[in-house]
Amino acid sequence: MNSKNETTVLFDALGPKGRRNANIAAAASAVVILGVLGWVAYVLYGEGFFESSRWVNPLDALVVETTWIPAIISTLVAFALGSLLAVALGVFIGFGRISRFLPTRAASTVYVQFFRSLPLVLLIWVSFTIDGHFGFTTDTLGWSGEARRLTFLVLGLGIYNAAILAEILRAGVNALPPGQAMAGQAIGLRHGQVQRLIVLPQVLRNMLPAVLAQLVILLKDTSLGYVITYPELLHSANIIGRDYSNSFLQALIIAALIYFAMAYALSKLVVYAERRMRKKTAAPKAAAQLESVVAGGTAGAGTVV
Amino acid sequence: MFDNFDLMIEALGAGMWTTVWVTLTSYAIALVIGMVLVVMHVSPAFPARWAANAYTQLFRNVPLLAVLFIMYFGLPKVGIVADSWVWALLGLGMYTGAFVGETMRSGINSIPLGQAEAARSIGLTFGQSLSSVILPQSVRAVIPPLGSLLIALVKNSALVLAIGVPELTARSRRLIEDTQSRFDLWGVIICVTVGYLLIALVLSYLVRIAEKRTAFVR
Amino acid sequence: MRAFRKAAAAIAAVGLMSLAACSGEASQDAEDQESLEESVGTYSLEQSAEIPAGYIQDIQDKGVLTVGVKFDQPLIGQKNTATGKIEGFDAEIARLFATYIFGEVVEEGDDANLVFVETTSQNRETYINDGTVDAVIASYSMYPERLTQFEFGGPYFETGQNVMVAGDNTDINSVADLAGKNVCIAEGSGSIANLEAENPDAVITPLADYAACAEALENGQTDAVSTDETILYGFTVDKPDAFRVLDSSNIFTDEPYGVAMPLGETDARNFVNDMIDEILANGDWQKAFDLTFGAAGMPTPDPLPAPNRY
Repeated sequence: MNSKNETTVLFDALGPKGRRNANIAAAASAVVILGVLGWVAYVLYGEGFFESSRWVNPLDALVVETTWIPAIISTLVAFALGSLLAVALGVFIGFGRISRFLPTRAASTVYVQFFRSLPLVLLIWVSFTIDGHFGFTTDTLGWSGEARRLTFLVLGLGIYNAAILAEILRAGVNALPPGQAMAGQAIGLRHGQVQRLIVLPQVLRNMLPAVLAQLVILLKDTSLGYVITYPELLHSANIIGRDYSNSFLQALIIAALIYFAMAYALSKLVVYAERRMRKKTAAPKAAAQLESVVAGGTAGAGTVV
Repeated sequence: MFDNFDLMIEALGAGMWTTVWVTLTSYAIALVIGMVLVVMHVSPAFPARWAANAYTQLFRNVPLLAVLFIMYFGLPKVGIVADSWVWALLGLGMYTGAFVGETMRSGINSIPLGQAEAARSIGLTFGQSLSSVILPQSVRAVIPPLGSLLIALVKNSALVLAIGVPELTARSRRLIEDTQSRFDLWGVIICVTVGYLLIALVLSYLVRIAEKRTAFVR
Repeated sequence: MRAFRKAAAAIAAVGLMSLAACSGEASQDAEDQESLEESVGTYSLEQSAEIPAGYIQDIQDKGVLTVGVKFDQPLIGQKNTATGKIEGFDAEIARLFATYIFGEVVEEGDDANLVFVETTSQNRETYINDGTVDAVIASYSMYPERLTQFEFGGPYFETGQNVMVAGDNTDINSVADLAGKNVCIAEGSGSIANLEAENPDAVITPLADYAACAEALENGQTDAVSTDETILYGFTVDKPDAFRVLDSSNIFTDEPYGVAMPLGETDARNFVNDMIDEILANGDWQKAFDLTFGAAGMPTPDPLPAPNRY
């Protein structure tokens, strides 16, 4: 974001000759990049990639209506429910990790370390597979078919991301100057009140961009529903591609573009939130830390600090 | 619970080895891509900056699984054919590369401007101030986040099962779905969990050593 | 604000893309399917005179039959992404099953009494065990070891495992030729063990499902695909030039397809067997065949399958 400042400090302001050199470099790299893109387009064209029937078939109005749109809705539903569960559980576990009560702290730490080291795809699939090995199944609770697959996708997404959100939250609490809590104690607030009235509001505000960034990842991870044949976007694109096998690549690319549009919109929200939140916090360190958390992406925040 | 333990360990051990080498090789690819991206990002030629930005946005906003599917099942439709492990390494590498690039960039940005100003004011050129003042410091700043990217890559590497690479998760699935039901569900789950925890533990230990090695007193 | 405008533009672009799309093959396909159904005629099966208490009665009371079928196997169970309808022989058997229980099939709307759930070779067993589906009709072979885990009605179709290679492949002509070759088989499929027993030198590389295997074979990423001939046949119908199924003399297993239900539901199993007897007698089986395998040019099998009341 501040690479502008960086470059201007590292460079002298360019003189006429330097400016000319920079222009030449720009032109040369433009030629190289356009050349590569053009070559790719030429090869694709030669293979019939742009043939209109290959794009029209998977985008037939009927297919859009009966498959693409329900697929997008399925993805968004899994995303919404998964985010809710992840945030709720994440706040719970996150505060467990900074609890004054040792067993709570230990249990939360174990939760975070355990679920952070396992692949999400394994979590989704294992929770799906062990259902029915406890003497009761989700079916006895009245969930079946689609709802059941949704349940396990949401469970997997929620449990996994809660561990990461808990770490983000903890990093946020640690980033808050200790003076804030001390001031709270000085005016006679109890521990719980300090947490609720002083720490939590600031931390939530601070960490909102990092949390949203993690939610972008959660949105992309809904594609893992494919392992349990949840009819989300990527899985449906596969089925469409198999129905119109000349358009297989096209169907996948359309799905990728839709993911891109959704995730990009969400990540723009992150930037917007970041800009608004920066002004309103007592934690000067937090901003820099946030950036590394956001950049860390899938990695989560724990080891970032 | 651990029926046919030797068979299970053999299969899961092979899977674990696949996971480890896929992770490490694709991480090496990711580091190279990340470095190229950083250079493009700070370069004065705007088309290069633009291309780096486009690359980063693309891979940050498209699911890894979609990338792998497009590569393995999609690209052969336009005549580009390769084995599943090639796409596994390239897919994981290119995807993680975008994140590595961003991490390195924010590492450079995290060095206070005063450092660059000081370097410039004692007369170092752009190259000198970058190579002897900025980069050595930012390397230290980026090691922890790069370490967490490596751990994340271990987990992401499980996705290559979708294109037929027999890594740890794929192996454990095959054991549980064994047609002769020779393996106990819980035994396999426990073993595969322990496997991933072990990998994560060893790698984070190595990252910590790297951190200590490069640590310095500011 | 620029960010928002960009995002809005992206969303609008996607929206436009879908609006611009109007009619490709899909509309034509839907029409073809309709005229095929018309020419074959409707089923004459009626509701069973007596519904056995227990499993089947419960389904009738619930008002919905949930069936696990495959969504990506041509001629057996494939989702038509334009109409949302499941096409294929397995799906037709499911429709007959629903008719036998409820007297009619309703697949759409709030009062639908037949719901299809996608199953793959690897989650069929999980789905029956935990009750996700009432029955699995998904090219599920009645192997002896499976008969001790589930109740199987049927077989409603019989086939055997064969090998499919790329259309231009000339050096694989028998199962023995697979030694040292990459053979793709769906994860969790019984075909893996069958091939291991028949030719232990073949290198088996599993993918998620047979559609993925066919994809890999067409792309040249694997040398062969081996599974039930019906499944392979479905792929060659789509692309006669891309694939070649070995001669039927190479079939090396018996694959009797059954309707799988939870273990112990013997009445339900007999109910399915009664239904199969009835559709074989009244010509509905033939109609289901003509709608699917027959329409693709497969000759009617001789002899017809007969339920195995084990």
